[in-house]
Amino acid sequence: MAHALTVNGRDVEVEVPPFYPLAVVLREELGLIGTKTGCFEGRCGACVVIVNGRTVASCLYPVALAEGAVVRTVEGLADSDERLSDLQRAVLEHGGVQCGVCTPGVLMTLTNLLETNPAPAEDEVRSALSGNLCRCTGYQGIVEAALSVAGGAS
Amino acid sequence: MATRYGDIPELIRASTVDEAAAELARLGEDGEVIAGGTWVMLGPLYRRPTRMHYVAVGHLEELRHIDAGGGSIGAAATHTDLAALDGELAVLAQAARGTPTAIGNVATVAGNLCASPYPAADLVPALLVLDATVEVAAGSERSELPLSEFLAGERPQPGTLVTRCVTHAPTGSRSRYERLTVRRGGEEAVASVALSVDFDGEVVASARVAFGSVEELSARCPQAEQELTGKPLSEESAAAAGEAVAAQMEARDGLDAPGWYRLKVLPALVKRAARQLTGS
Amino acid sequence: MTVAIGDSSPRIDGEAKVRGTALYGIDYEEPHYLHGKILRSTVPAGRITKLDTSEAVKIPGVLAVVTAEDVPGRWGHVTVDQPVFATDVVRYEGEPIAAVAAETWNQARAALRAIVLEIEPLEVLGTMQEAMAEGARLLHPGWESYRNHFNTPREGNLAAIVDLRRGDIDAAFAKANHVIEDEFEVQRHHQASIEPRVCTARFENGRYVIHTSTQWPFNVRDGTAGYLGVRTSDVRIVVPTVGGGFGGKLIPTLEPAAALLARRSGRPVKLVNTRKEEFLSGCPRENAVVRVASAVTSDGEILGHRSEVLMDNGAYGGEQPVVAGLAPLMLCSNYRMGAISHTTKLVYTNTPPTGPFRGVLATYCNFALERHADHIANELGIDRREFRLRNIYVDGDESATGQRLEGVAFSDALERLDEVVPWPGLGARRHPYQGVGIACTVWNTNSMPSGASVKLNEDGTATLISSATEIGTGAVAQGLPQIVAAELGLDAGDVVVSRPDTDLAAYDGGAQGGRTMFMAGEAVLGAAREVRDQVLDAAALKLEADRGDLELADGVARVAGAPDRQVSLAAVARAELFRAGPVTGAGRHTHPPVSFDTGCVTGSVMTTFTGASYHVHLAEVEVDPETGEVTILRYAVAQDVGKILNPQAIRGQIYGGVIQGVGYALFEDLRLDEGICLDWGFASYRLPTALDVPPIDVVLLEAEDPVGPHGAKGVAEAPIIPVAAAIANAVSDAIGKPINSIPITPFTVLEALNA
Repeated sequence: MAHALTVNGRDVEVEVPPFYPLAVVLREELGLIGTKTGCFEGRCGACVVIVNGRTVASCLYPVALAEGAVVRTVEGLADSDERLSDLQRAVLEHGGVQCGVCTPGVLMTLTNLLETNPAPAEDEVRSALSGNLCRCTGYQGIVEAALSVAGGAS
Repeated sequence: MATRYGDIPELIRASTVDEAAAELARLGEDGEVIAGGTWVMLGPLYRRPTRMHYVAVGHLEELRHIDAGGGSIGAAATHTDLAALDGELAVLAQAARGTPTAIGNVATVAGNLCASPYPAADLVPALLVLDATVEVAAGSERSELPLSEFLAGERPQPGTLVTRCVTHAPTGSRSRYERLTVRRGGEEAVASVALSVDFDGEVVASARVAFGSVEELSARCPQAEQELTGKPLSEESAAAAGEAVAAQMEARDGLDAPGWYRLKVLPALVKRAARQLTGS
Repeated sequence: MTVAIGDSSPRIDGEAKVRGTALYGIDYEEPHYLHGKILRSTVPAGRITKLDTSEAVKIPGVLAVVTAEDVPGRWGHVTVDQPVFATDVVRYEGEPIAAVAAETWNQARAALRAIVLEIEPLEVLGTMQEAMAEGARLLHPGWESYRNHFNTPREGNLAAIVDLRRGDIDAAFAKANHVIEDEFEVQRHHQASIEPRVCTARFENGRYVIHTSTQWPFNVRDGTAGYLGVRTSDVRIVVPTVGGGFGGKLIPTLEPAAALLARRSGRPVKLVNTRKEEFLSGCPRENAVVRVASAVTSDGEILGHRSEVLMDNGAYGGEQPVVAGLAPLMLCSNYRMGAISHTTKLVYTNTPPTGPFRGVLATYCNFALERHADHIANELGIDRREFRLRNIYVDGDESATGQRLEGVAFSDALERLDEVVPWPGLGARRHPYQGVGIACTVWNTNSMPSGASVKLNEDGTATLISSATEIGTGAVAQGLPQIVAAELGLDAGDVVVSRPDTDLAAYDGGAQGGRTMFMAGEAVLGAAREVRDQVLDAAALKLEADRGDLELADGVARVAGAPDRQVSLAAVARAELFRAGPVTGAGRHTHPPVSFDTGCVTGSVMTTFTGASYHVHLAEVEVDPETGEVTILRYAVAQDVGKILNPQAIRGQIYGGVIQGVGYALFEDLRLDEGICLDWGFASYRLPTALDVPPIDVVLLEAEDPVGPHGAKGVAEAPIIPVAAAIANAVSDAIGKPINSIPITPFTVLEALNA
């Protein structure tokens, strides 16, 4: 069954069964391995992508529901192949990346947060991250990075 | 990763509510609604049976519509859609905010009502204290029934589609949802309380109280409501309400919390809700 | 800009990780690879009465099905007790019984379902108590015939027995004014790296080439070869980007099965654990019971200390017999204890094998020791901090095994911490249900050896070739290239680091025990210094200068104070090609032996501290007496790191370690019921979220180590260790009741309050 969607600005069509999780389609059909899968329970948040302006756990999102949707993944975040986005730079500068498997989902969650709420308070950043598990960093560098971008410091 | 390659053969994308209702009526036991997809996609992991066909309705604007003034909440409104509600419906917004964003962006009202067994569904107690009714489409027929009655039946009822909830909270009533988790968030409540109160001056004219996650199914608690009514809302009356309900509930033991604990914390939860309502 | 030691030099893998282009084990694929899957036991104990794979092999697309018949060998880090697939007996839920490889995932799943397996249940020894009971069934009836690499004492269901005796313990207890006893119980704790274990194997020219997500490529090489019965050099381990380890990826798990499937099928085979398989098979930190008794005088001097640790090994030994040997070092530690009598028993049970997790048993030995310290102080009416100051190790004190300790930074750490968060003192006014706790720990830096080489490239950059493995800490992505860059006067971006590859780089003892900077760092420093030597010689010739007058900075060699007399490293590298050959250096390093009282301990191969570091943690908490919720109001860490190499990386390790400790202290709990794993997903196994993080103050101390590079010690492991103790001491203080088990859930707090 063919499904048409727009991923990072590119129109694509994939021929897969309707209940293929979007995460698997992105990774295995479209080669966008930046989106990670850590649990297939919608709990770790490594697979978070933005669908039609809202974040979803793409491991629990059947591709058929994304029919015609505009999907954004971590691969679409950078300003260019030379320049990272402010958030990407900030998360590196603040030590918010260690093993990095949670990083794509974290970046998508925070990108969406900052687009809908450009100046979040620390507790809003932490709440927004409550569905993104990071086992390495203790979240401190991640939260600091989001706040620095929100404050325009970066 | 049991769902990875999908055991479910078909997804039918309905283009209108009537079409969805007609499809579901035709499919009967073989069909079921899918909106945000989380419950369905988790099915195989928890060894829940899956259907042959799913009718997608999450994209239908009519089902997502929220008319706060009229108390009408579309069945496919998501937790995120609800999060901005206030006034009499504040309890619903607070209940909706407990879900992590990426799930709350897709998880719907009807999903919360139909998921079973799912004692921790946050929206259920909130809708119970708002005296909600549930509108169900069976083919071209539409009917409305009280939420408690809906919950008592088979969920989802094969061949049917929930189209909306209608709340009936008294005008000017105030409401609050309090959820208790072991971590600070990012998980289902181990116990929750929804409280809706209308005041006559300082005195509680009527109160509606419901608890979530304590028993297998959320329910209103008339004894607790009685404890709160006819007097000012206070720590004492709130605690008494919590104790009244704890005394007669049979809490479930779960991996998330032991049953005794859910009962033990109810007075504190009602007190927290009351404190928020009285601003003390 | 030229990198210096002490800079927060950036991660060399950072950009790929934020762009999503870093290639992890879960992303790595080889052309035409097959999907592998493992058939696991659904019962914790039983005898296999039927295993028939004849239908599975007939399924279209299925290219290999393997069972114990294909790989009869056993392996073990210490005791050779574990098969790849259960032979006749199943010993834990989740134990591999067969594996399949097929063209598609669906075919592989169909093949698993087509295998006929019948298991006759055996009595489940699901707890240590059951396994240790008089006349209990033996989990390994042939235990005596198993080879044991270190000849450590064992007995029946006891996989290891560690004993330590120093001084006259009976005399100490006879003389004491008080004898104070405690018993502690702790849960299983899962590493839960977000990337599961995953590997891709192929069989090529008679050798197994395995790309795997591991922390210790050489251990996986040795173990895989051991299981398969081939030479270690017949296995090549290459490590893609690793998505977290925390100790869970040290030993071979999926690799032998993948290797075998690749050989049988003639195709590359990829095996990935599901999250559930991670929980079932994933060597978590063991549940344990700790009993301690101290003989003390009225003014708080410890005359003698008796202790016992029971560690749940699960069904197979793994690394645990080594870990067990650390118990006396960690439990009879921190304080001058007089006479010591200690026993640790490692107990086989019908549960998934346990294994190393950051801090290993120190997390709960410290929990027990520091809770016990508070108990003694409270019992004697001595302020808890004062009690510690009176007894804590100072320079010249001896460890439990009689190792003389120098550079002990405890007093300093306590003092520096007090500047950040002043200790309230005995009888200070407090808010009800608020409490404060401190916990001290000494910790070891793992001293497994390392080798490395560095080459100067013809464009003036350098390449570091090492099998030190980056698992997220930054030790390889930041620290090692920083050492090279600082030595050669290069920018951070001018050092390339090879992937870990057992064919290419020298032996390395793995990303464990905080050792990468400490041990690999020293080897890398040696290699970089050889390169530096060659560069200086060549530059001195070229510049007609005295070697001693040269400095390396900004990618050039120059005469100090004469900036016009310089030559680029690129020019040096090119010129050297034809003068003396390529510029290249090798370094190797092992830790010098440490002397101790060799007669005092049996059953332990970890008898001394190397790169010992000193830590004090403080927690301030508030308890809600109605719900039992614990709020950490404030947390502070004073940590001796030897030498600050990279402040940002160090802070990242401290934050991350403390938060893992918070999870361990408050809610993480891998529960079993009669050998059945109850928590097999993130729905019930609670990992800390961004909301669970308290404000943390960090004080770094530098008590330089004589062996570590630039004086550095291990940093990454210790921050998890004292957290449970500090929080438990604070909660006990807040509620006035002892908290002697973890996790300290709201349920346990309410139970304690109502007790």
